[in-house]
Amino acid sequence: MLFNSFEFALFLPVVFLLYWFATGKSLKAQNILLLVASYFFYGSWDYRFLFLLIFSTFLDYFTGIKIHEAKPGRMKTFWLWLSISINLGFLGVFKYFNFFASSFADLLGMFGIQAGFVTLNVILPVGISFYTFHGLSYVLDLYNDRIKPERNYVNYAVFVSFFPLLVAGPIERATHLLPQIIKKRVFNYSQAVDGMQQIIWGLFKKVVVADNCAPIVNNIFENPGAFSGSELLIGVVLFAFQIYCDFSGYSDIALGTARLFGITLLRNFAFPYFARDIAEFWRRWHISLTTWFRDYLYIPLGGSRGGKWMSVRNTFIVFLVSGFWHGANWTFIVWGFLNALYFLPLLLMNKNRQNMEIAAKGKWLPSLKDLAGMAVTFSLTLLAWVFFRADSVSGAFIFIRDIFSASLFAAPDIKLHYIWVFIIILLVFEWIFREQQYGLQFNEVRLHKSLKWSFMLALGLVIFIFGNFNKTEFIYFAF
Amino acid sequence: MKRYLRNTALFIIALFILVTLLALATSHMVYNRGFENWESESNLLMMKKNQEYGLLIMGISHARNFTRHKNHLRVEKILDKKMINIGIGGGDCGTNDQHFYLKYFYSTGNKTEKVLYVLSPTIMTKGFGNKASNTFELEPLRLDFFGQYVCFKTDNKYERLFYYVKSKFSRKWFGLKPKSLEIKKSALEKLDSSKIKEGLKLLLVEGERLDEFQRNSQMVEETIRLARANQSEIVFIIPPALFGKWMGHFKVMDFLEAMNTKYGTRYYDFSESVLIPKYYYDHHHLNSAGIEYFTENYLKEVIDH
Repeated sequence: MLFNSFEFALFLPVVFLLYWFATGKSLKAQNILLLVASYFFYGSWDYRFLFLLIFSTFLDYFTGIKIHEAKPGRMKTFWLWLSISINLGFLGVFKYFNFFASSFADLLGMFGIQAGFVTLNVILPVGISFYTFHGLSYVLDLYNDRIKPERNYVNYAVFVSFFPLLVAGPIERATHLLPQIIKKRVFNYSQAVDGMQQIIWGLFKKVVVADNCAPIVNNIFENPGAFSGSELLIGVVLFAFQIYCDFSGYSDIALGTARLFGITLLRNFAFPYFARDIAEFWRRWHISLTTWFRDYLYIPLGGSRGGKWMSVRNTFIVFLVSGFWHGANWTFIVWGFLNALYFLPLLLMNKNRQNMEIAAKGKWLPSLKDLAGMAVTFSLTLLAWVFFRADSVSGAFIFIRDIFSASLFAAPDIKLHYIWVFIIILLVFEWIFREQQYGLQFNEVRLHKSLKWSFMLALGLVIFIFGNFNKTEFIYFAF
Repeated sequence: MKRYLRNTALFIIALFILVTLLALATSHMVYNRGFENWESESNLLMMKKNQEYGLLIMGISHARNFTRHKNHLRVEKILDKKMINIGIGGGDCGTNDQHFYLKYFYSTGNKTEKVLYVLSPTIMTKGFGNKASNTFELEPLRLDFFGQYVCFKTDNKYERLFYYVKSKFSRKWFGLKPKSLEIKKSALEKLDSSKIKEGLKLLLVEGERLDEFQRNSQMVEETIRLARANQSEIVFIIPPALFGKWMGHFKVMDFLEAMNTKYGTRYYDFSESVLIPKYYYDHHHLNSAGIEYFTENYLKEVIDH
């Protein structure tokens, strides 16, 4: 069941009404309903994987209690590693087995050894990377005594499986989400209105911008040889907006949906294309994953405590692992490596924390310096996106080579229709609302009620007329 | 909470009204361009109310072909009957929606003496036509049509209705003008078995669907009852194809025989009636000369019967 589907348009109001009216506002009933709804939501993709989700949830629930009960020492570590190994084991089998098997075979092939490894014909369970990371953060926090274990299975299961975040995040933390789950939720009008607005904004990003970019991007990346340099460049720019609007649109819908149920999820995007350097970009892009890696990988590896070179090493490790998390393909690893490389000068010059505030805070327009920073950062991400989107590393290099050919200056012959208009609308709104949580959060803005209504109706109309509802899956479902 | 529910409902209703009004406006705009049956692939753009016809043709592309390329006028002349064609080609329509179109035709006060159901075996053995979401993309928004379809039992109904309304804002819709395809002169020189194999391969993708056949049979039977209830005689023909019999041919024949026994409906197997390449523009669609030839030599007798 996709967020942009008819099924979800029916599912959400039904669960919403049951949640606020049929549960008698009892916490237990609210959580049981959320769990049943979440399992139904997940099972609608493939009910077989529901068992995997339940097993993974139970594993972390059980080992979590054991970790807490064990005295510091071998048993505590044993339970932690049991959880980590099984969680990562599932991820390894379902997501990475074929990659390792074929990469190893390729490696042996380079030495003249022909090895025929068995590859598994498995489907990647939707959201496995996300709920595995939920579970891991929980057991790691327990191991480090940051939290107490949740002894109510339903509560814990809702934390892992809450349907808005189940398949593509944001990757939640027990410290943030569990306290909300174990507390009775009371309906809050302005929170619900804000949630609905965020859902509509997310839908605009997903079905109007991302899904209208998708056919052009797919056409260009599937057959790059047929396009001129300028057309390839347009393809990458469109992909940059496609992936941003696809994923952040999904996150907006997830956050908005959660708010309808009185739950606030972690922010996942903060206008990353207004970032003035790559460090700022990564503080604004897929925030829940970036901070996850920071807290559970970068810092345990020593962070920046061991001096500059330790910091550089750890940064590279984090970006490579992050690339690998996105998919079992060398293209993602190169993408991660490239981002680490972009990060390097900032790290060496201690400038990675120079842009902590949003650009041009309190002003209408950015300074020329800010604008130049944004342009350079966006260009760097474009280059990296080529690797992210290409089928192979060599294909990405050829793609980049062909962009920088003589035909870069040829007039492009691609029908873009009205996509540019929507990208401009997106950027204008995101710029105006850049100090808010999402691109249309005008709760704080003094506007007459009728104007707000007119605007939302106009946006609804735009979504209906120009939205592409061909059930295009969210890109991050694949991760 | 009440305030939230009220405002959400108001928002949805306001959006619904806005969309409907705009879709009606664009439909009106296109409808006013004035379409004849052969000037588009739409049914509602040319279907009027309270009309009397001698013949109504229904089915998929093989049915629509009697109207395309101004064939409509030629067929009317040969048969000497006022004709309306509600067939829809392109794999966008199945037995369900053909039934619905006929039902709507009658509900608007129209009458027809005879109904010719061009029953290509593919419409019976496949389900894709019943599942297409773009079936009504060339139809103007008519609220009575919309309302009747809401009450009609069919697959992915709401998806179809969604796209029905949404398509009223598409470039394709705005660009729709009365345009008759000129006479279809292109003709095959010989039967090309490799092309036939290629085409059949596409049909074989999901194999013969027994479940779909059963569902389609039930729907066609309902169509028989509908026509009879409206005092029309319904006649079935299996259209000609250069390669003769389609996949599923005998199953369809058995079904038609059963209907004949049950309701006395006439049926004719014309699958091998025209085996001359020059009468086809592909291996199963007659060109204009082929339509004239077939109507003159076969269809006339069926209709005059």
